[in-house]
Parts: sequence; C-alpha cells; structure tokens
Amino acid sequence: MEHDNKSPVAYFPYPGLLFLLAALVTVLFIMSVFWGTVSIPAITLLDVLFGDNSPSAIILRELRLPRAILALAVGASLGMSGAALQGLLRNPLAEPGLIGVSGSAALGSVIAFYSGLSVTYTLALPVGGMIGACFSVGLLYYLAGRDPSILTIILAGVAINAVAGALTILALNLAPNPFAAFEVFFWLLGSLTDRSMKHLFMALPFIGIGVCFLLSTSRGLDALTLGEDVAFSLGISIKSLQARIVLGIALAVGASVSVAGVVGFVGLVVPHLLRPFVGYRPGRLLIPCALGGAALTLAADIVVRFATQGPELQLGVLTSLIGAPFFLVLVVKTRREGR
Amino acid sequence: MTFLAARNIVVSRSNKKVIDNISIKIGPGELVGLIGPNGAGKTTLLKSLLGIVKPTEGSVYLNDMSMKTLSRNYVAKHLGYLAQGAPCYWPVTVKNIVELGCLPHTYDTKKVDGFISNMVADSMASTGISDLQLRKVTSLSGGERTLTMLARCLAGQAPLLLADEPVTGLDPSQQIKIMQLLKSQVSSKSGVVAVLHDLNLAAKYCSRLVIMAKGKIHADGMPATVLTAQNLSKVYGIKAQIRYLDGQPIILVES
Amino acid sequence: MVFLNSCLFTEKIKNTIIFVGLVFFSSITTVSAETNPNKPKRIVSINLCTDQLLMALVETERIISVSHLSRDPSISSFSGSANTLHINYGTAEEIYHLKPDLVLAGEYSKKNVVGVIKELGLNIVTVEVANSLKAMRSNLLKVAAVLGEEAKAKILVSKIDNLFLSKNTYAEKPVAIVWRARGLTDGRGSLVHDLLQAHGFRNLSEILGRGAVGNINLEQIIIARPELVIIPDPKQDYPSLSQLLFKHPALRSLDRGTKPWLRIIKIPEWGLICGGPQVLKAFEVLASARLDLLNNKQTR
Repeated sequence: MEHDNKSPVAYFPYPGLLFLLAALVTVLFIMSVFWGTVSIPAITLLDVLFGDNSPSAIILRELRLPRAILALAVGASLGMSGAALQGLLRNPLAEPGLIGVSGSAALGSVIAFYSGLSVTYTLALPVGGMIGACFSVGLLYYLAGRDPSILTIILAGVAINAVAGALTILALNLAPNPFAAFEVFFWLLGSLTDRSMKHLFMALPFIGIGVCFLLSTSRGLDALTLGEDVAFSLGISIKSLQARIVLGIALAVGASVSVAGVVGFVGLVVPHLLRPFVGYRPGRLLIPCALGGAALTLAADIVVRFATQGPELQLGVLTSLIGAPFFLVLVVKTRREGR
Repeated sequence: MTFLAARNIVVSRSNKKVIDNISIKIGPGELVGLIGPNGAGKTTLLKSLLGIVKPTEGSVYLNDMSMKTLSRNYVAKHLGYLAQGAPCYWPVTVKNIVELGCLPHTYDTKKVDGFISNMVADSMASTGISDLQLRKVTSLSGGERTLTMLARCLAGQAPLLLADEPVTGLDPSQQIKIMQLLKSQVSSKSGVVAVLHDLNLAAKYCSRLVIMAKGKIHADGMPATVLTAQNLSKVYGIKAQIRYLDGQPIILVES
Repeated sequence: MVFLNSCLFTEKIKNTIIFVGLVFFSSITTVSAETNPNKPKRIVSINLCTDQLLMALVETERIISVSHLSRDPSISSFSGSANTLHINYGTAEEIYHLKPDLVLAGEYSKKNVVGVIKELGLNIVTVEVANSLKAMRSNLLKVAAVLGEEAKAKILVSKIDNLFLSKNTYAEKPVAIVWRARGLTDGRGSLVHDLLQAHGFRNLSEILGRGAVGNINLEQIIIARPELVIIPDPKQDYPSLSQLLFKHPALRSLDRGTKPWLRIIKIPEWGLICGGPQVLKAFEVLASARLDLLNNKQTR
C-alpha cells in the first residue's frame, strides 16, 4: 500500500490541496466554456449577460455553459462517490459502477426513453435514470439483508449489474424504434455533447442532495479505518453510514448517468491519485476527489472535442482508455503487495 | 463511576447458543481477565457487553440503563474497545489513529480548543509511542500496533476498557509492557476487561478472572480461587499443577 | 423404313439443335439481360433501395417479394404496397424457394447471400448506390431495362434532366444544409449535394469543406447560420435519441419568431436514405421553401 514509512506527501497541507484543485477546476471550466470547435471571443460573455441573442451568445449560454457545468457536476459526483465507496468497502478497487448504480440508471433511462414517456415529457429521461438507480439501492438492501456486510454488498452489486445489463438489451429489442440499439450504443458510452440547460436543472438538485449525503459520512469513513466493530464502539452507526453512502451514490451517480450516460473509471482513478495527498484518510478524501473528478471530467470533455475529425469521441470511451489500463496496473500492484 | 452489566443474556447463531444465559457485572477498580478455550464465547461476550452484538434474549446495562435505550455516543464515551488483531485498513499515521479515539468527543463544544491534541499527546506519551507518531501504522510491528490502539482508547478517556486478546502473538517483552499498561489504567474510576489466552499472564496481572466454557461462565473470582487444577481440567481438558511464587499462582501444564 | 428413320433422325437433330440453341440463347440472356424482350414476371428484391425502385416502376402483380424493411413507413415511401406483398429477410434459402426469374440486390447486400444466389443459377442484378443525380439517372435506366419498363423510366428520367437544366437558372442561391442524426452531412460528391444545387441552394457542407460524407456539430451550424436546415422526419411516431439533437433549445431559439435566424424544414427519412425516384418527390418541398426564404428577405 505504501513504499516508505515517512512519505513526504503525507505532510501535504489540506487547505493547500483544496486550493490547488479548486484552481485547476476553475481553469478547466473557463477553458471548457471558451474552447470548442467554434471559437468564441471573450467579449461574448457580456452579450450573454445582457441577454443578447447573437449566435455566439446562444452557443455560450445554451451549449457551452450547461455542458461545462454538467461536466463539473458529473465529475464531482463520480469522484466523490468513488472515494466514499472505497472508504466504505475499505478497498481501493471499488467503483460506483460496482454496486450496480450505473447499470440500473442506464436501464431506467432506456425504459423511460423508448417507452415514449420522454416524448411527452422531455425530462422523463433523467427521472427514469434516477428511479432506476434508487431501485437498485432498494434491491441492494433487500439482498444484503438486515445486517449488510461488505461482501454481500459487492455480490449484490454484481447481480444487479448483470440483471440491469440483460434487461437493457431486452428493452432495446422490444423498442418500436428499429434503430434503438444503434442510437443507445453511443449514449451508453457516455457523452456530454449537445446537452441543454434542461438536463442541468433536472440533474443538479439530485446531484446536490447526493453529495450532501456523502459529505456527512466523512467522520464515519475515517472511523471505518479501524474496522466496523471498532468504528461502532466509537459511536458510529454503521447502518446509518452505509445507508447514507449508498443513497448518496445512488442519487449523485444515478442523476449523472441519466444525463451523461456511463462515464467509467473516474471514481477509480481520482481517489487513487489523491489518496497519498490526504495521508490515506478516507474522510478527507471526499472533497478533493469531488474537485479532482470535476477536473478530470472537464479535461476529458475538452479533449473529446478535438480528438476526432467527425462526430465527437464518446466521453466514456476516453475515460475507459485511461482508466482500464490504470485499473489493471492497480490490480497487479495490489496483488503484489499481498493485500 | 461506570458499571457494565449483562443480565441473563443469550446470543444465538443459527440455532446454536454461543452465549447461554450469562449474567456478569463489570466495574472500575479491577483488571478482569476473561479466559477459556477457543469457541467458549469470550469474544462474543465482549462484543455483547460493548453493544456490537445484540443479545437474542436478555439485556446489557450500562450504568443501570439498558443499552437499547442509550445513544451510541453515550456508550462510546464510557466504553473503549481494543479489537483483536488491531485492525487498520489504510496506511494512516499513528497520530491519526490516536486522534480517532477522540471521535466521541468531537461534538462537545464545551471542551477547550486544544483538548483533543492534548489528549492525543498525553496518551501517546503514556504508551511510549510519541516517537512513532508520524509512522504509518501498517509499517509497525505487532506490539507497536497494539500500543497505538491502546493509546487510541486512552485518548477517548472511556472509563471502561474492553480488550480482545491484546497480547496474543506478541513477543514476551511486548506482552509484559502491554499488560503493565493495562494494569496501570485500573483506578477507582476506571477498569479493564481483557480476553487472554496465556494463563500465567492472566494469573499475574488480573485481579479477577472469569473462566468461560461452552457459552457459560464456569467460574468467577480471584485468580487464586478460580485457578484450580479441577477447573482447568474441566474447562481446558488439561492436567495442570498450580505452584505459588511470591503469592502468585503459576500454572504448569503437564503433558 | 430407312427413309422414315432418316426423317425421324433429322427431326431429332432439328429438335436437338433447337434445344441447344434455346439453352445457349437463355444462357446468353442471363449474362446480358438487357436484350431479353420478355419482361421478368417473378421479381424478388432483397434490398430496401431496390425495393423502392422496383415498386416505382413495376406493377405489384409481377413482384413476388420485397425486403421486410419496406414495410416501415419511416424509411419506405411504398410501405402501403409493401404491406400487401410477401416480405423476405434476405436469406438465400427464402429466395430460392420463391423461384424468382429476377432478383434485385443492392451494392451492400450481404455478399455471401448474393454469391449463393448466383451459384444457384438465379438471375441476379446488383444496383449500386446512387451518389449523384447522374448515377441516379443511370441506375433508373439500367434497372428499367432489366425490368422491361423503359417507358415508365423515361418520365422519371426527364424529371431528372429538368433538374440538371434548372441548376444554373437561379439568380439568388440561399445557403442550405441537410443535417442528419449525429450531425452527419452530405457534401460535394453526394446525391444530396446535387439535389440542393438543382433546387437553387448552396450547400453549407461544401462551403465548410466537408466531403461526400461529413460531420457538422451544432455549434458549427449556429455560427455558420445557413438559411435553411433540412432535418429527417421519421414518419413513425417512436422515440428516437437522434431526434433529440434537432430539438435542442439552441437550434430552436434561432428558428423562432418573425425574424428567425434560420429556418428548419423536415423531409421524410425515406427521402434521405435511398437514391431512387422517391427522393425527387421528397425534395420537391425545397422549391417552395426557397421562394419563402427569398420573400421573407425582401420583407425584412
């Protein structure tokens, strides 16, 4: 897990870390708003503020801004959820997709869309995703029983993912749209292209609530370093902790997936990179991972605009190209250290 | 004064009684050794007293109030737990671990500002690990880890300390050091309960011994009273001779 | 007796010669079907685009089967007729059992199926994808010849010729673009490009330097501000992710009000998939759209 006894990064000051990450996020946010396939002059910002309807102002207000905010929110959700999950399961290989949230959210969104609900109510798509995510949480509690142990949660998550995946394919086969499987293939791979303010207003409140739930678990996660029993003896209610984490992840990640598709590995890569900087303390990792996740997603979202000549590269593809090899290296490293 | 009592508790797991109708009272002023063969239910009894395991029948009372009615924070302030194997899942520093012991006190606004850092420094000093405070816990030896966890318990200032096999698998010098520390914690206001495997250590440091077998308490009293060849043969199935050295019983196990 | 035998023998030889001649003649016709005076009477089509060509030129009595895609009203302009016809899924076994005297396949029909059909000795004609008005014209003539419907084809060909002629008669050419799902567009070297020019528009895709198949995203459309944006309209009422792009508020906000920055019109999807005569019909709406645009310009 660590190579030396007194690693200098353990001394990295916490406020300094937060400031640096916040600065990084700010820079990337500004880049995301002003960089794109079409160059927008900075003066357009004034146009936007004065409600002008020039094409540049429209692009900025209706396309770039919602996209950048969504990248920030989705990235923060994924980063913080990954940190919380790894703190709960005490395993650095855990990821929100693991407990079945991403898969169920995708299923909920697909059903909401292809059943025609979102034709009548455009926002049924995000709502369906969150219902799917909440459903997976309920099912998780049922499967894990009255006294949920970590192993049971993982196994339940694997089962939920398998079922959600199969049902998604079934839903696509039954959809009246013959191109459903083709269309949704791209959506499932994760993308923030051409999202609008509507998506933002629908997803942001739920992401906010989820993040609040997760932030409240900071102390409990620190206590869990000593194991569930000792944490309990220190006054932490394990059940409440697990409930808040699972619910927080379901809301934050569920809302994110319903709007952006499945963007994988952010919840794996970011906590791993930042953990040494917070002295491996899981409670302290939450906010830095939110910022780090936002930064990573913003950066990836900028890259996808320029990676290919034709249609934009899918965001999830890029994060997987980075994350999957990273994950493999992590597995090898963990096995070698015998944990 | 803090008192912990179990009244007629039964703990069943898959239709088997791990704890079979036990009543026991723990209070300050004594170092209680909980001994018995593997599977006797010692760890389960300890966890039941802490409230980690809920008894199937009967109740545990802290200061004459049922555990079911007490807040987790109240219990945490009165009972300290040293878990078996001193588990630690992340490579955090010794100081961080000791600070965790103060968790039950974090919401007490009445306490002075430097309260936590003072407690942490004091408990590290009394366990002699101040030099190790910036070391990663995962890099420590077994004895050093146990000392860290002990410091953590001390920082929490809980009057009753419950330790599950604190010295199992440690070097003799470490074992003695830790037992001495545990003994030094005993006062008119505080007490210790420790699950022990080494009968001689138990005999030497404990003021009271409780022998468990098959989920029941077989004997409870002073070491001299409890450690008889008859009891040992019944509970452990061994033939033992008890000698006395300076008034201390020494158990010699015969083959 | 000998005389009778020799007469019979001659008769036999004559029959043999006729028979051999027939066989030889029919083998010639499978190679060069254009010269066959007999119209094929049992026609099977295994490709959506050849279905459309077939149904435009031939009466349904001579059509034995069309591909199952022809029943989908969003991608087929002849879905009504297709509902009464036998449909196939393009497998060699199906087709063989139908005993056709002509099979029509597309350029991208499964090669192994086409191969097997050929080996089974059936008469199969492949029609290439039309990527220009010229190609559409020659496809029409070729298929019409095979089907024996040169007369019907002549009418359609004359329509195409008119479009060729009208191309250079427009004084003012507004900018238009055909914008498909995922931002795909057709630039220079595509059928859509020819049609846009034929109806008096400049193609934004060509202006932005895209090839025959290119991509333009929403931002680029907004900045470029073409006067007309043509999007596909699936006639079927099922939810479609690709349609969400065309409903984006940014685009819609430019299409609104008395002074729209651009105008959006829809063409049925079947007008944008295959290069057959139905495309001409679908694009007819461009003529009136152009006039509207020019009139609005004057009143602004």
